[in-house]
Amino acid sequence: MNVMNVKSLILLAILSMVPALAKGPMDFEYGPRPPLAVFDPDEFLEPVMAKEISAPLAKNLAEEQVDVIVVILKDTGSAPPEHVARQFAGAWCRTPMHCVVLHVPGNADTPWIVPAGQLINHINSAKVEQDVDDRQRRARAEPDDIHKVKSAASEAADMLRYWMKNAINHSEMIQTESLRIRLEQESIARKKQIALFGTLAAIVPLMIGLTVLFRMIRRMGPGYFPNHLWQLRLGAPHAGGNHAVVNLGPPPAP
Amino acid sequence: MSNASEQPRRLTPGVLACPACGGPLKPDAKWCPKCNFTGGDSMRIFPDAPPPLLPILDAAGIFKDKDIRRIEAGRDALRRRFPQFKWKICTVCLPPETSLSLFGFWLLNACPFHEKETLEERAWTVLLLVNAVSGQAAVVTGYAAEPFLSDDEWKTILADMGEPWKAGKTADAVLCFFQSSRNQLNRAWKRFGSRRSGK
Repeated sequence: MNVMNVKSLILLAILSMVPALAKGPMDFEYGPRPPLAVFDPDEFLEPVMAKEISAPLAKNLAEEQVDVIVVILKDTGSAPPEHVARQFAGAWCRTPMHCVVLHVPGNADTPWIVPAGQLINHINSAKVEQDVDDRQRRARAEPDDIHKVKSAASEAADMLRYWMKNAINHSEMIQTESLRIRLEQESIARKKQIALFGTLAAIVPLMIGLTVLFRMIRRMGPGYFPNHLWQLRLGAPHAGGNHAVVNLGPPPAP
Repeated sequence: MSNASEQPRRLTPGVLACPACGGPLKPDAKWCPKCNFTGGDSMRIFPDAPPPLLPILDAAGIFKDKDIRRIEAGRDALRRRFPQFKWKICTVCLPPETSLSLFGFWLLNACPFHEKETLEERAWTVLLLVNAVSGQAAVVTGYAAEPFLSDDEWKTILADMGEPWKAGKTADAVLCFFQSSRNQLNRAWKRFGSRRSGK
C-alpha cells in the first residue's frame, strides 16, 4: 500500500464521520414529527382513538397556533419525564407556545403536561406551575389510561389557549406601556430642553438685572472716602479755606 | 495731622485758594503769598464771639419750620449715603461787601464745637453759607472733606441752587444743594471711595 492509498483511506474515514458530527434537530431519536398530534409508537391506543384525540389538537394548531402533542411511551428509562417531554417539544414544536402531554401507561404519576415556547416567559411562572399542577391532577384522577390521555390533551389545549390570549394581551400591554413610557420620556426630554433654553435665555436679562440691582445697591448704600493726612494752612485748625462762592441772584423777598 | 486710620496717605487737593483774596495757596502755606492773609487775621476781621456751629443756623430767618424739617430730611438722606460728611447750613445777613468765603473760613475755625461734635467731625464738615442780603452762597470744607471736590465742583453745586433761589424757594435751593452734592460725591466716590469705613 503506497502513501497515496493511505491518504485516500484517511480522507474517506474523515468524510464518513462528517454526517455523524453534523447531527441536527432532524436527527431526533424518534424521527420527524408524525402527521397526527398523537405519537404512539407502541400503539397503546387504537388508531381510531388516536385520531379522535388528535383531531381537535390539529384544529387548534391550524386555527390558533396552539400546539399540543401527545406522546405515549412505554418507558422513559432513567430520564425524568419532564426532560423527555421537553426533548419532544424542542424537536417537533415551532409555535410560540406549545405543550407536550407525555403518557407512560402504568406509571403512577402519568400523565405529565409540559408547556414550552417563548410566550411562556410572559406568564407568571408561579401561575404556570399552579395551572399545570391543577390540570395534571385532574387528568391523573381519571380512572383509566385512555381517559387520562384525553383529559390531559384537552386540559393542555385549554390551558395553552388561555395562556396564549393572556400572554398576547400581556405582550400588547407591555408594548402599550413601553410606548407610553417612551412618549413620556420624550415629553420630559422636550420639557427639559425647553427649560434649558428658557433658563439660558433668562440668564442674560437676569445678569443685566442683577448688575443694575448691584449698581443701585452700591449707589444707595453708604460710601466712605479714604482717611488721609493733611497739613494745616494759614494757621487754621479745622479748615484751610477756599474760594467757592456763587451769586445766586436777588435775595428772596422778606 | 489726620484722623484715626491705619495707613493714611496724603491726598493732593485741587487748586487751593486764599479765602480772603482768592489767590493760589500751597497746601502747607502759613500765609497767603498774595495778600499775606493768615488765619489769625480772620479773628481781627470778625471780632465778635462766634456762635456754636449748629447743624442749621438760620440767622437770616429765611426758613420756616416746615422748611427746616425738609432740609433736615434731605441732609439725613445724604448723611446715610456718605456718613463721613457733616453738613452745616448757615444763613446770614451780612453787608454785600463782606467776603462770604472769608466769613465761612472764620466760622468753621472759630466756632466752638456743638454738643458732642468732635475734632474729626469738624474736619469732615461742609459748611453751606448763604448771605440773604447779597444773594451769595459759599461752601467751606474742613481739611478731611477738602480733597474730594474742587472749588469748581462746589461752584457747580452752588450754581444749581440758583433757580429755586430766584423763585423764592429757599428750602428747595438747599435741597438742590444736597442733591447736587450727592451727585458730585458719587462721582468722586467712584474715584476714591470704598464700601468700608476704614475705621
